[in-house]
Amino acid sequence: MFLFNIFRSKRFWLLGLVLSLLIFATSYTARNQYFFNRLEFPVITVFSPAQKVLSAVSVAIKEGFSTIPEMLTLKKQNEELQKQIRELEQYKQKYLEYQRENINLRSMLGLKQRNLQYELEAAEVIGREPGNWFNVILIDKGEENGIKKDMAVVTDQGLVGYVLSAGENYAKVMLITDNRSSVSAMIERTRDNGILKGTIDPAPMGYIKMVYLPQEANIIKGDVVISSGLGGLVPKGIIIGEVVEAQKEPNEFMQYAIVKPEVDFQKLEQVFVIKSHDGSRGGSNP
Amino acid sequence: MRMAAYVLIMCAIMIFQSTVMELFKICGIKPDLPLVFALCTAMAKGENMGAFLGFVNGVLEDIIYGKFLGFAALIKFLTGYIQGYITRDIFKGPIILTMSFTFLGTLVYNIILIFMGLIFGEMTNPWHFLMPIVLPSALFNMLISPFVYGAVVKIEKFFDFYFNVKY
Repeated sequence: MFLFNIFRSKRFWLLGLVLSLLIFATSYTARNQYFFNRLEFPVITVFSPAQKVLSAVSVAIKEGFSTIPEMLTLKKQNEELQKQIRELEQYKQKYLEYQRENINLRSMLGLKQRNLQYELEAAEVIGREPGNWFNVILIDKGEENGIKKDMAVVTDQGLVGYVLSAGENYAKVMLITDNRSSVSAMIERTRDNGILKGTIDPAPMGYIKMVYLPQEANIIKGDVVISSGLGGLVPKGIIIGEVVEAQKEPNEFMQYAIVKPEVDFQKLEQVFVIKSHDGSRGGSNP
Repeated sequence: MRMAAYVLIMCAIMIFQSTVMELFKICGIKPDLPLVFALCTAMAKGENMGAFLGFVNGVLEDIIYGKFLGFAALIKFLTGYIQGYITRDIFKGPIILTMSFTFLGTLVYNIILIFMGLIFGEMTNPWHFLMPIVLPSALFNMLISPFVYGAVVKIEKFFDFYFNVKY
């Protein structure tokens, strides 16, 4: 009798109809990106000016708060920085020397000099995913500025993520910490290749898991992880992070590493989109 | 008119959430203000309004940050409806009840999200993050719920005056 009453109620059928429509919309727009992109353009265009202003306010407040503790440690920091400058000066001299030597050796071998300069587009972060599960940010540059889907996004610290979709004057960027992201990477020291799969089990919050590493790979804590360039999504050699732990996969002939990203995603304000690299232009879609 | 006003409020809250609420992030977790607003409205106005606001919140989230339309809309629509339906015959006077129901509502939201995430392939082994994400976000939402509920009651009073008395 109770079930009969439920099936007779209009509310039940209305609820079922709305749920069915939403499930249909999800599966339809997951397959038909063109329709979804057309839908998001007007909404994001309306939202982005207000988001830009509030984002700037938020950054100003954050910077204001972070300045107070910084002031207390200013003298000590200054001394450390002076020391670092002296060290870096020495490194710079060595670097210039190696560069000259490298140019000479390359020209001797008749190799084409690799152009390590990327064509970058600076963009500001104007919004972040409102929830806690996914990591997507919104930037204020889009197709108008030559930004396309799958282009790599970096900061001076390292890799941030890649463009999920681009509208006329905005782009959605999936961070490398998102559990849906996938980036080819390698251990700089051992040259072992793997895949970075975002913050997934057993990586703690804010860390990323690197999978498919060979079992015999000698990975130690502190190893630097860089992009491998495989797949063409992210150019080779961009710093991603540092290994904090390496473990054997249970029941598999592989091992994984937990990587601490180099980029501080909490303080992400300005990013650079790599529009072309190694001579490629207009994106690097696989 | 009242619905349109609520949609505008939800838009403003969404902008606030994706910008200023970043300041309140602790250990990677921030309170979900639009969800708390939908949950509190569901408690104050019933399941239909809760479902409607959850739907609006979800649609905006899908469009601005999502990969496709309907995922967050479906989850937040259901959460708003369930919250309103469960609390329909309960006296919501004491703050402790508002906080408890917001805590439970956030848990329900996360359970539906995990379930849908697994169905649509958006998540891989989310159970690992039950403690680091679900519990702190539920606690966070619970803490801000009395203020949001108070705001919802004030908004309702203003709308009653504006739409029913004034016109």
